Amino acid sequence: MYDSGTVKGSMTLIGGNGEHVTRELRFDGYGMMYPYLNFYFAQSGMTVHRIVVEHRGKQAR
Amino acid sequence: MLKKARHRAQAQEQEQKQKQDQKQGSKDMDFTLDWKEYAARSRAVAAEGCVLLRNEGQALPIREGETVSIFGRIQLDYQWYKSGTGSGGLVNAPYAVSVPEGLRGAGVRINEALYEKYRAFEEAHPFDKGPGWAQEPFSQQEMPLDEETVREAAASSDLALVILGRSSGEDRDVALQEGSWYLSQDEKNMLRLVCGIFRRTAVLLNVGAIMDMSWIGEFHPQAVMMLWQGGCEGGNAAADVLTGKVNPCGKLADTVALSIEDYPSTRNFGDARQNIYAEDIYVGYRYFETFAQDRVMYPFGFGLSYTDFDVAVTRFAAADRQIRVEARATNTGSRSGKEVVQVYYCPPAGKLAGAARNLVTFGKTRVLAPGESQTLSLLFSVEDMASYDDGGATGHRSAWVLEAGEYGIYVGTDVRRAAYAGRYVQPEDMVTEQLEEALAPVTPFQRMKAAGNRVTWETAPLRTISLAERIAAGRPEAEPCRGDHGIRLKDVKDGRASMERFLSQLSDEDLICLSRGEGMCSPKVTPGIAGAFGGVTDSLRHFGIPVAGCSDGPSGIRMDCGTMAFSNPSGTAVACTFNPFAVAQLYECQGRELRLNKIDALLGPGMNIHRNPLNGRNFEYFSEDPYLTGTMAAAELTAMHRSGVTGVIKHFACNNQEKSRNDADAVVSERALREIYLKGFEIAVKKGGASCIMTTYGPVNGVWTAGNYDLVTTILRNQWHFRGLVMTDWLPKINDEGGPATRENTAAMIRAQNDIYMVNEDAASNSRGDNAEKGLADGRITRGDLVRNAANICRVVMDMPVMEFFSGGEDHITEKDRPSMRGVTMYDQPGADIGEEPVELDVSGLHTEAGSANVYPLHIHGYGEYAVTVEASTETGDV
Repeated sequence: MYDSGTVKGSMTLIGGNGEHVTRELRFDGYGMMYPYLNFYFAQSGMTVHRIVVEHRGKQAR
Repeated sequence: MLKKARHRAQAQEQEQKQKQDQKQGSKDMDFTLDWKEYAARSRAVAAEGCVLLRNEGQALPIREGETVSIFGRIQLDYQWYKSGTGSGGLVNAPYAVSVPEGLRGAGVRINEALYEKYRAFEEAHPFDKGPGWAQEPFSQQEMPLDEETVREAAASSDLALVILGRSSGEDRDVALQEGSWYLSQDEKNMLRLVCGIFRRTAVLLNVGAIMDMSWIGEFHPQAVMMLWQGGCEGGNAAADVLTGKVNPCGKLADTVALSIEDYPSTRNFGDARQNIYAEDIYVGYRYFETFAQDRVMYPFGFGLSYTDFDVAVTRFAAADRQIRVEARATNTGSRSGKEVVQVYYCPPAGKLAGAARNLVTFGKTRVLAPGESQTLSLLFSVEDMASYDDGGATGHRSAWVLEAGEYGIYVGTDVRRAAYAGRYVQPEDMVTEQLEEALAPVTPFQRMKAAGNRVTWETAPLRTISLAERIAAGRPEAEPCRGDHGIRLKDVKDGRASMERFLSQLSDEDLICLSRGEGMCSPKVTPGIAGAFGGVTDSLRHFGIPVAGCSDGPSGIRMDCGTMAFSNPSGTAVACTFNPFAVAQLYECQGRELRLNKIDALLGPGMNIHRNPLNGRNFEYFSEDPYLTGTMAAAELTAMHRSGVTGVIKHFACNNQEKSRNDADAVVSERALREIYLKGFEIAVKKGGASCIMTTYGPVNGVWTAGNYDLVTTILRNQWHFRGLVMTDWLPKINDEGGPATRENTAAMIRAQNDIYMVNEDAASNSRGDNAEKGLADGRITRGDLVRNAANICRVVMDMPVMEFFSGGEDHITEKDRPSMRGVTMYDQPGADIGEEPVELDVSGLHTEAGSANVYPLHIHGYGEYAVTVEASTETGDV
């Protein structure tokens, strides 16, 4: 979803009962002059253990 | 046969009209979303939904100049009680007006000293949000009251308002315990003191659906009013009714019985494995008016006003299979107001034996001044009074039959007060629609039957057909993939190519990917919404299939990323208006808000029947009555269609209990399905032009609905002529009859013509490991199944707004008076420099409370693809 040069996306944890669940979100960085990640929590009760950001190479557009 | 042909013609006409409406709305739109108008319409519906149950000595309305003492901590917690919990309630709203705020805004003087006591209590005992998603307690700890506090309040005010609140919702039924179905001891103590000391006490219920009301007989408050859950404008709406600006005109959409044990479904509710629908068609007032009138505290359709109305039938005519009732409502009191006129029928005591009362139509007056009258003309077909013969008692098995005999027609302002108005005599049994057996139970059980006003029991007819043979006989053919011939979906939309030719270009893999919706919160659609479907892969988009987005509903848009949306009154409140016109006006605005957010479909209306008051999701649904349910759903749908967007009606069918909702089998007769549990959906399809339907989590008669061929193909598509798409609920199980239910068995889903499994992380890689490819390889599904389902999806998606955007179209939407956003707390987090190596962000200071937004600035070295991997856990149940 492109909005004024910002890539927005979101993810939801599906699981529970203490199980560690990993989710991946990709974005292509196109048009982002000052990128940032905004982690918004719609509900309480989640523990975040790790967040890793990785460059995966060029993406043709 | 004539009847069948007529139904088909009607269905085609309805589909054309709906497509026309949606096509009109799916073009580029140039409109203004006036938020003040939206709020006003929401407020009007919330106010009309309030039901005044008791008003001794005209305790209400609040008189001018009076001071009001408000008791109950819920007065400060309205933002949590504007709706229920779970997916149907978690709208991130810009504001929520509480009752005290609404009253202050209306100029009512509040006992501020008492309010301050509650505010201090609230500070010391903050709202308990529970351990996680949809897990807040059923009620909050009430502030203990002492006699001195109440006497002090009574000395300085004229009226006491006591607000009681309850929370329930997805994945959690109401519990038969204090603080849930019953009052807590602190609440009882509050009522005992306030009702004992104040001369006038009005109890207001901020609840999603009905609860135990036996306390009325214990504490005798002068007034009792259901506020339900009114969304953003709930407090303003309550103030409108409490002050008399709006005269109460809401009517109960459910029967309030003396005790939970009085509801015939209670004894078969809550089992984790199987629920026998032994009460059969005798749900709600159908049971009470037939067998147990003395067990009713407030009947279906009941609701008081501050004025009085006289309703007189001025004309009764039965001709050409139509019955016309003209009823004149006259305001005989001293205040302006509206009244609802309800028409019920009583069938003859024939072989099928029906309920003593059945709502067949209703109408609501405009605001009538004292002395003013309005004549409502209420029309219905005699065929609307037919019963479904699932056992062949009339000699016409699997048919709607209008049995010979006398049909009494009753007219009034609630089911109990509806008086005899006339009769229709059917000379001989008439089959109004011959169908074929579908979705019959396989588990033997006894079902309720009427012998006059006495309960008898009979064996429910069981399935006689072979489901496997029926499925095998219905397999469609399709030509093999022809490869890309340059035809795009837009060519189909514009009439340059047929759907068949278009789909013949798609590979088997493409067709399978179409059966996979993505979510939750797919980055391919509007952030934070529940799902994406249609062109979820690059290859599908190459063929011009756009990605459509759907968001949780039904009472507002849920965007789990901080974006705010308007919260509307819950389903129960909407139904209690008995005013589909006001509801349609509101959902016109809802449609525009969807369009503004580039969302093609709202996951709603929710239209399961209130089989039992303990169902946690009753707040999302409308009523115990299928006609009222279908009428309200049709109003919402047709209104949203005017903006080119639509609703996904849910949950198809029998989602009547949250406990063990993934597994508990609903064992229900064909007759109860046809007359009660499917009827509302049928109305939404045939009259509301529904184009999207969501199935449930659990099984009906042994087959999980996500792969239930008889439900989705035999009944919905073959008998109702539905041409739209069907999607599953989020991550349901599916089974082949008799086999285990798993989340991977999408072959059974595809074969049943449930088109889309919701949801997958990544359709292209088959991230959940479904068995569609394997099923195609081993013959469980065919390319014909896939092409048929793809056509269902593409027909709908190409008429959605996203199709225009995909082709370069643009809306021009002006927002007027948008409310300011609040409720999100921003936290700055340490930035990171992202080079060639993976970088782990510092999560030690991450805030994970609801409403927290954590911002990490990034420095990247160039364009390219980036991956963000999050490892997280929660101690709560599945979310």
